[in-house]
Amino acid sequence: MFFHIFKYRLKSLSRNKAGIFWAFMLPILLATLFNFTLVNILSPDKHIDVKVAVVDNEEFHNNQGFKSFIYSLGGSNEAEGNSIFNISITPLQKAEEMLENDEIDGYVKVAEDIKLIVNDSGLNQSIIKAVLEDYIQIQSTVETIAVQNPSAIDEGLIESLANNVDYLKDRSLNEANSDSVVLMFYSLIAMSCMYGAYWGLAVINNSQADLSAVGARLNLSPIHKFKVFIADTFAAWLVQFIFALLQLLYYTFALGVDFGYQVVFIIFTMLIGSIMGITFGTFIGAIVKKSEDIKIAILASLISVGYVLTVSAEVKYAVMTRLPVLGYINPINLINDALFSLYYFEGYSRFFINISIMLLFTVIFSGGTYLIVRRVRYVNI
Amino acid sequence: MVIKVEGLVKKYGDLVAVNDLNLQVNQGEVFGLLGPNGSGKTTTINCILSLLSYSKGEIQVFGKPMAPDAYDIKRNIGVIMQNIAVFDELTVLENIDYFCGLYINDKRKRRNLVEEAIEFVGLRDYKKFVPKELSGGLLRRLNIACGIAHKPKLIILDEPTVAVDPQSRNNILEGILKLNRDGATIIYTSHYMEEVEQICSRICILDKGSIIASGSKEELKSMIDMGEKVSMEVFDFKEQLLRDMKKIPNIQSIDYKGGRITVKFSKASNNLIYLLDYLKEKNIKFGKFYSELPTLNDVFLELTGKELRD
Repeated sequence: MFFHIFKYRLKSLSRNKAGIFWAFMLPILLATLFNFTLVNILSPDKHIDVKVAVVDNEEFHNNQGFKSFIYSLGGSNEAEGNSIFNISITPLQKAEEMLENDEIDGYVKVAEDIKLIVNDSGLNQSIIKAVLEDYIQIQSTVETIAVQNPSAIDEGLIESLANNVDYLKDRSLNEANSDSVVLMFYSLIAMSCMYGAYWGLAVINNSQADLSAVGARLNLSPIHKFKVFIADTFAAWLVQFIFALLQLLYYTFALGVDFGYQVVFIIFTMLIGSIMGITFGTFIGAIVKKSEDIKIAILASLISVGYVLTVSAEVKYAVMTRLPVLGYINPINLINDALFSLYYFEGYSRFFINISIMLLFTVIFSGGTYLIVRRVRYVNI
Repeated sequence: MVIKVEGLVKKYGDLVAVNDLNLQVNQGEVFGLLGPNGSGKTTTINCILSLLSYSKGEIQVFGKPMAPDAYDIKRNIGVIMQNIAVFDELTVLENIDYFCGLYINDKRKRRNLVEEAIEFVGLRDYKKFVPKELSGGLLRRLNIACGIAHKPKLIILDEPTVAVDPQSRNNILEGILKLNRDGATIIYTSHYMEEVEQICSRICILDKGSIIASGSKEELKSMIDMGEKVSMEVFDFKEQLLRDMKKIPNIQSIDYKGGRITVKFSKASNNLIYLLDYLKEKNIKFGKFYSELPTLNDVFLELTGKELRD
């Protein structure tokens, strides 16, 4: 019986043109469009450009260590063409003007200590801050060691500490080629998984007597409707997962996107993301007592907002720094971040944190759906 | 007894949709629920099927209390709802097989039943069509096939001929009688009195959620005073004529509309003779002339003061 229901739901869902559009065609169309229009804009050559000024004063010139550090930031990588810093040494008044006119992200003033002055907070400002803090920490370490163990300086301490500047180069931490375009495709994959919600909506609509004629007929049959619901959900999961896999193949082989070597984990993420999307749809379908069109509009809106919040590195960063809760309750961000962590980090802890939250959401959505529809006896049909 | 309903009350807020309704359906009969739109027919059926919750009352089907999880009862019921309940993406064959499969596990048995159902509703040539490729009438037939393929003992049809062409309607009505001859008990709801009159052995007339009369069509017609209805075409109509004609014996009412006069007589002898004598005496010229026995619409009209299709 379970297989009978599963088989026919698989057939009907896989022929559902509206569902195919949302879960498969739309991401494919967007991906193709983005690939042709945005790839050049987001190509690896367009690296981060941090514009910073250093106040040209006596303290700066007297601080030889910091001066060398600044010159190394602005100069050492320039030859390789991938320095992220654009540094200008300028008088205080000029630095203030430049900051006022948004010509620089911030300026550094050396006095008794090293101060960073910024007008805004963002990725570039955070990078300057991190670099300065790193320098100050190294400087402090060197001074402490020089006092406590002067011989260490002769044993190559400075050279070993200086190696830390290597992270300033654009470089991925794993074997894949770093490419910000990939982030955009992660968002598309995440969005596609969440559009599995459309299948979820179809499943709930077809199982409830007050939502569809088919639902009424199923409620009159001698089958526990939860059995039908489970079979339908598995069918929807399979359909969504197959469409997600086809998308991955299209992105990889037709559009030439390099997702790195963690393909098995990417597929696993899509599998979990798909069931989270489907249960999201069943939950919205069960909890919102409005017409199907309104439910679709709600789903599409939520998914679109979730997608927009992850589509660019800047927006994603802003959300995670200013409103991290939003990042953790945005299912698209969870999928996106799981894929992102596979791409950028060697370990799996961040990946599995995201997967765990996705599973938690799946349990919440499916549990919520169950509580709403169980033993329901309709007041109105 | 297949169905027994006692004191059923269903309210939607302050609106009483079904008001203290009692009815019994016996095995082997074609039971008609007749009433205008909004009279409570579908609500009553949905309550009987435990699809809707209700405020008060007891419902038994096949001698057992009906409940949403009474699967042994549901196994023997086939329902054809007013709305088409099929999957748009599945073919005719797949739809029937899917719904039949909810009742019948055995594949071979199911295959035979599905073929029989397809044959029964005359969709042999449309097996591989999807619903949107079917006409309204064929779609209704598919809807019926999905509801009866598992050969239920009780078949409930809720307005199955709405928006159906005359040919398909006749096929559907003949099919229902055949199902009944094959042993199924039928409950048929409609606001088309001709259909109910044509196929139902016992009829219950509903209005505003209450039963206003029940019995065989002959019994229902005998409940009213009207004996016959005569309509005739007239060429030179004057208001005065209607007033004069009221003097004819046994006349209940007289109306003029669209060039025709309709006269209703109470149950009595020689009504036509009185009318013809009057027309001859007054030298009134008339064209086509019909005499009819009362219909269920007349029954409804006399009991409620309004037409069935109001």
